[in-house]
Amino acid sequence: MTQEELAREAGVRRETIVFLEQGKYNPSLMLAHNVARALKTTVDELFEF
Amino acid sequence: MNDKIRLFFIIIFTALLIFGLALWAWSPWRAGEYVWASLIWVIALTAAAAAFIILKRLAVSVYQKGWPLKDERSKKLEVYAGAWAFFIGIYWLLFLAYAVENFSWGASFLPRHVAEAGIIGQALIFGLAYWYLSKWGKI
Repeated sequence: MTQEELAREAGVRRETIVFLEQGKYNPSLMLAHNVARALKTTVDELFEF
Repeated sequence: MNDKIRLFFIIIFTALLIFGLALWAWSPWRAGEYVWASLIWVIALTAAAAAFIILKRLAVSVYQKGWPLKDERSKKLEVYAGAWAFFIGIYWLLFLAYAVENFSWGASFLPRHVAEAGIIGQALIFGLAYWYLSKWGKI
């Protein structure tokens, strides 16, 4: 899945996905959930806190 | 230059061009030089039509690459940059008010100049803060 596709699935801009990947953006719970769902995984597995 | 920046650049440039041409055409129109004024208007309308075609293509491209223009992160950036602009702007206004009273170069300032410079300063601080936070801020 490309960043653009993931951005569209999660309802955000591609830049947001880029910063998310680089660890430069703290997403809201809703966005974390949307990204995890788009990637068919869970928030716990996707993010390290 | 990515498509979003190109899109904004074309919108701003076209708006300035069209408004500039419209204002330019106003003087000959009032002076009765209708042919010259009409010619300027034709150029302005042609520019508007060309910009519309390019913008439509770009908008489709931007949409495919990840609309929306505003999302969670950009809204957060706006809030942070707005807070910075407000906070720093207060001290900027205080400095201007002090400078008008106490510095020699401030003597020529009118009270409304302080307000204008303050607002322009806040707008600049907002833009700079948005850019800085977007590049390096951990939000």
